[in-house]
Amino acid sequence: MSEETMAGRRVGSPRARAIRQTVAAAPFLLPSLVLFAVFVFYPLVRSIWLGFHATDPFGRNEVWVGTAQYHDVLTSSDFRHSLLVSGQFALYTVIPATAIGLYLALLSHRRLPGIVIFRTIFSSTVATSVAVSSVVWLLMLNPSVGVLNYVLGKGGVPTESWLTSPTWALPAVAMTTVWMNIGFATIVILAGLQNIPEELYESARVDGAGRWSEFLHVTLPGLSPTLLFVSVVGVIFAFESFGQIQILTQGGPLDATNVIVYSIYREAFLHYNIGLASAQAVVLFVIVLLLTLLQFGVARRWVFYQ
Amino acid sequence: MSVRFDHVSKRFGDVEALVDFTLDVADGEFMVLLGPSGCGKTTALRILAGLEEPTAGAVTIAGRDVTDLPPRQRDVAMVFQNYALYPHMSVYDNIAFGLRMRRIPRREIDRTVREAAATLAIADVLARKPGALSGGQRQRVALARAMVRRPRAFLMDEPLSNLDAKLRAQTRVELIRLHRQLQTTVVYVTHDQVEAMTMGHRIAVLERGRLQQVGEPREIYERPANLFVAEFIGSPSMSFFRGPLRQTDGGGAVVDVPHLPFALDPAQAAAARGAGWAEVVVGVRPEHIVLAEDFGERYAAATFEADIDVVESLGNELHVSLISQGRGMVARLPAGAPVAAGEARRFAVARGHLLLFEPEHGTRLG
Amino acid sequence: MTRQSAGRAALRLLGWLPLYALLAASAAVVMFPLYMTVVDSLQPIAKFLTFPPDFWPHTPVWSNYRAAMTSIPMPRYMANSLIMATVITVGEVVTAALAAYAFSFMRFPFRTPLFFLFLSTMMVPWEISIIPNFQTIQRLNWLDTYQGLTVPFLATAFGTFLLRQHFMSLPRELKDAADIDGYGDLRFLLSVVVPLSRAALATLAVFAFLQAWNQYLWPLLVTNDPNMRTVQIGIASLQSEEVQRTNVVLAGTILALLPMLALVIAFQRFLVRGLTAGALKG
Repeated sequence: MSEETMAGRRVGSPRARAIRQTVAAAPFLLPSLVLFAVFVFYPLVRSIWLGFHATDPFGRNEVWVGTAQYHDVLTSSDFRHSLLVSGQFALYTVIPATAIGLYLALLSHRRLPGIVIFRTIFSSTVATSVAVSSVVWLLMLNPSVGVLNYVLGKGGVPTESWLTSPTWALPAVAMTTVWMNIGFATIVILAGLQNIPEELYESARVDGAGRWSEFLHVTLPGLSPTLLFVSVVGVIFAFESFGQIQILTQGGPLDATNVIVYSIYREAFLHYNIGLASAQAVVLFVIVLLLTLLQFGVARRWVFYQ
Repeated sequence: MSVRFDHVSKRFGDVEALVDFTLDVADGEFMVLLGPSGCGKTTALRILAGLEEPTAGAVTIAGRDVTDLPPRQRDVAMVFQNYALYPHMSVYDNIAFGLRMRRIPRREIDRTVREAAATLAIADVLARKPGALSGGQRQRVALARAMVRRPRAFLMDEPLSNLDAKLRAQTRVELIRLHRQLQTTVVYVTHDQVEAMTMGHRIAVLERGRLQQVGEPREIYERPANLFVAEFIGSPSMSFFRGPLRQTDGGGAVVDVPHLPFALDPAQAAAARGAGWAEVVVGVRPEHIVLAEDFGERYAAATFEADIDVVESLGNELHVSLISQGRGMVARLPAGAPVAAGEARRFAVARGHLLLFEPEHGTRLG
Repeated sequence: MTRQSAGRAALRLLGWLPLYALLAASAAVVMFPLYMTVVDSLQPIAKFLTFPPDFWPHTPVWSNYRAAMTSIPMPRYMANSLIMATVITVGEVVTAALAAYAFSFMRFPFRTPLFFLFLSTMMVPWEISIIPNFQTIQRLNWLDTYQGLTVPFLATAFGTFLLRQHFMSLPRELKDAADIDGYGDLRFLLSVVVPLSRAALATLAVFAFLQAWNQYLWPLLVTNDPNMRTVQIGIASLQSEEVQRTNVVLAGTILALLPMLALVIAFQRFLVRGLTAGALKG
């Protein structure tokens, strides 16, 4: 006893402490963990599992079919087409939305009288849903009475029946999505701009930087994490897009707007081909994951965290 | 109440923040834990508060082992460096916060809060938020919050470090007065030796997680246990000279620093001989280096020629940086002493004030 | 203000004129689709057959709005959306605040791996979970119920992440002080952390509410009963049912959008400020 005290008694075993800490933290973490387990992790595993099983037209009687459905998905020209459409759609939406958001944020970043009004207008489209923006643009894109064709006609540009043209349907749907997303992009980029310390600008100014070199050497590097965030989220949003397709084009014309999620929806909930739809979803998940990792990988070269 | 650290150790990963720390604080004592940043003093305080669990050892308060008790059951109050006032609550609510937890009747709480506010002269700001207060006022609110709890001990973590110099000096005096009035045990962490010297009944000096010395301020200053304490305490710092110990005729001894031999007193010479050291380090406080012309050579342990490098005037005294034979040292001279930068003068080291240390381990002779 | 400095301020304002012109032009472009929607929602139906389009409602037909409210059960849809969005918002804020608190103020085994597990849920896109989640809701007999509409969305990694970033910026000493004062974790969360994190909580709440109100695919899948449909599905069905009355469809669309627009206008400052507390770094 005395020797133990001399050497310093070991207090409350690490095991007991770990248990006590876990018991204390559990009520804070369990609500989220349980929900994630049921609605995120289980579905992930379940989708992979479903991909290995075929069902009858009522979505019942799951039968193990091995990798057949994954094989079908990967070799199907329809799926590859959908993948291409989704990829194009991501390209058509992410780059313009980010660029416009950056432009609007830079424009309204300076503290000027009344600037809050402009910021509010620029971020207002964050309030719109896919349904709202689709209905709004359906009118604008109307080939005979729509404003877009009216304006183009005035400018001498040939008009189009946007949503029924295999060439123009996808860009047209993308345009509605860009408009819907610029509000979010502007808000996030405005926040990113405010995170850049004022001293960096001051020191650049003291060093004799002009507007342009200030933008290039202070704003852009300072904004790089934000731009990465906006583009990563934008790509994920793009691959998840569904409502605008369903309302505006139903995947047509000639599958020109048949993005993957729409194809999954049709397969699963119209044709009740749950297994095949799940296999598509799993493949899509892997692709989105790879794309995200790729974006982070590319970004590592030019994103600067303070 | 008395407080005791009993062989307390704390590791953070590979870092040993506190090593086998044992310290007794008597009931009502004002104990200062002093050391440079990272020395383990704050860790010790946080272990005493229960905010940190020791890796080994025990903490007792009033004779009771509290090592495994959570902070709230230890009945201590803490004043933080940044005051840790709740910014969204009024001063009144900040002070009352800890009391409301203890099911004390509302009227009693009100009385206690107002009493403490009156004592600390913050009664007129009770309705304000901490953000609207000056640094000094915030400091008082933090003190009041600790005071109303009537804890068994006050733990203070650098409570004055965010105040400007003048306010710090004022608050020091107030803290001393407050402690005299409350008679509660205080464990006070600081890196500022002036605070330690002026407020502490005793000072515990720590370095790299280890206790170096415990003692009354005067004792620590005059008889530092080792080289670290000797160098850390005192401003400007002590000057140190290393050389072999050589016997002289007639039983005396000399520390034979090249071009600057120090003659030892007979008692010190005997002790050094007894210890059997080959080399020693001589420590000289700045106030013991004086102009030779004012000083009888026979009271000097050494005299030497030095170039005056920098003269800093503090109004009531001068701090003079000297260079002699390539060695730097600092002297503290009375204001008006006839010295100017660039001059070469003769200086003396007063006899009887030399401190001798063993060079390898730094322990002091005697 | 002196006369001279007032003059200088006026001059400075003049210098900003090009910027204001640019701002106004950009605002006009951004607002134009919504403006046209409002205009057309007030037009008589005959106008839709005429070309060129009219840019001003010369004879506003307010009855379009009444028609939108009655030709589908719009009030019911609105109520459903409101209930759904409110439940999801409250749920998200509560679960995220609890989890974020644990990750920023508590110590427990596997804290970092658990946090990464939370973050990893952001990488699992909704489309992969939609079929199994539909089956789960079906098996629970939650189709056409508020549970079915809300429960899958009550926890978010994004919210946890956003709040954690904010909580981490609060001084640690507050927690120490509360420990010594004897306040437990829940009390500390409620009486100190929450009041100090209002901006971040408001941001999360507004985004959660917007997202929930604007959901489309999930409500489409899990509701069949017209009494359980949300306003977004309502607009889509209005659009397919009222092919002949575009103005009514547009009126319905404006009705669905107005509450969200009001929310964004009211909380515009919060939306930006709540994200600025380092939320997007790391």
